[in-house]
Amino acid sequence: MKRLTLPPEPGALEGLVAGDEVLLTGDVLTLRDAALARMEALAAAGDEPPFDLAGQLVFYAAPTPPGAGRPCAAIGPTTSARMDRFLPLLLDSGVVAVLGKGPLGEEAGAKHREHGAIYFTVVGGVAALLGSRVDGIEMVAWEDLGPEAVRRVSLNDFPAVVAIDSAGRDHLAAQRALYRRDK
Amino acid sequence: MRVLSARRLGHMVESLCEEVSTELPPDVVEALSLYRVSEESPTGRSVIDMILENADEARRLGVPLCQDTGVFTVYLTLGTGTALDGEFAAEASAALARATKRCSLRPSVVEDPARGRENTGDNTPPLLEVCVSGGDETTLGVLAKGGGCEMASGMVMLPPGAGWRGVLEFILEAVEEKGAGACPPLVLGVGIGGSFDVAPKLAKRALLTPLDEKNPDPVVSGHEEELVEAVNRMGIGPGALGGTVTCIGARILEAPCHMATLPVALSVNCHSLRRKVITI
Repeated sequence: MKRLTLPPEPGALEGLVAGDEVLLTGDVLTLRDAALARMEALAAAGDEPPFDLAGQLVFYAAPTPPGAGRPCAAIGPTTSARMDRFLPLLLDSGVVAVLGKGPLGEEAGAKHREHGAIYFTVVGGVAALLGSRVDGIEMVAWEDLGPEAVRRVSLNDFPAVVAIDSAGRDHLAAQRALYRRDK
Repeated sequence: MRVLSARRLGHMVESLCEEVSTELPPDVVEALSLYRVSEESPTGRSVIDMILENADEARRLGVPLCQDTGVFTVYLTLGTGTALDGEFAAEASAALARATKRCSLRPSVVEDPARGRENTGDNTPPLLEVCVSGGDETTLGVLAKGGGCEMASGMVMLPPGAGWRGVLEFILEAVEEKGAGACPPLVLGVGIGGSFDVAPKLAKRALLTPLDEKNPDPVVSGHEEELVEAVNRMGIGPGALGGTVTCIGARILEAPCHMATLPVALSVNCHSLRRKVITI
């Protein structure tokens, strides 16, 4: 099990290889469908979003409200493939890693290789467990988007797997081929 | 004539919404435990362990099983000679709003879907399925379904001659394309027949059928098993991390249809199958 402090120090992602299990600790930004669409519209108009994504890990997530004494009662990844359209925008904005669930589209590997970026996956639907791995949450921007607003989430030993590494190797595709029995 | 108070039903809806959000049903826990044994991938087995541990944690703390607490469907089936007194739709909606607040459910419902997409703030309105049964029994059920697996669902109008092969092909293609992003191991609800609008309702309602209850029709039961086995050969695995357990159950509901049609719908559910039906 490897450990990674966030946002990553320059060079910290270089040693990560597809399939590595990694515990993530530190700050990430949540962005998903609605916030990404707004960011895309701003970019099209030549404007900047009110936050800096350079060097950040973006978590495709929308947590629940606080509960059981936690900053959020439950938190977990949403389906990453839905965000494929926004991946070039994120990577061009300096994002160094994304965190979500499930496979990405066919072009994602090449995009990650081009930018030296990492795609982490985390198991979906275990959000009560993952809720214990969050130390704090603060609003960053676009509060009107409700659960889909941009938040800074402070992770503590958050369990993830390197699904696509900076060389573009795709762990999910490789594992799937390994266990496939119908071809 | 038996008269049911809509207000009383509303309180039952509230309890059901809270329960399904925080407690994984026993038949789902059992199915996951059984399939864990046959999972060939060590990672797959550890993902199933995480899912079971998550169910314990959610129950212990009374927190949601998943951050996507879903869209709620309320099923009310009225038995013969049973009438409703009061505003059931309003009571069910108020019940869901109360459960949302008390259980820290995420508001996940937006209005004006193709325009402003303004969040309603309390998960209202619930989807309502009210119908009459042929028997004496009156039942009330709640299903909370996440968006990830809903996006992997679909329907098709097949030519009547396509038969079960055509149905199977449609379902496997859909799972092949989007199943990995829908939080496997999956449960598949399948609706066959009826009409363009009925098949998807059947598919979703099929998810209410307990996983440990054998289909009374041996042919349909065989189709359900065939479906599970075929999906489990795809290699997707628990958490899409690779493995031999991608599906832990398939339930099929059928209805008569026009001789020129074969409507088929697939309602994909994630491993967090959150539903409960009670007899009242």
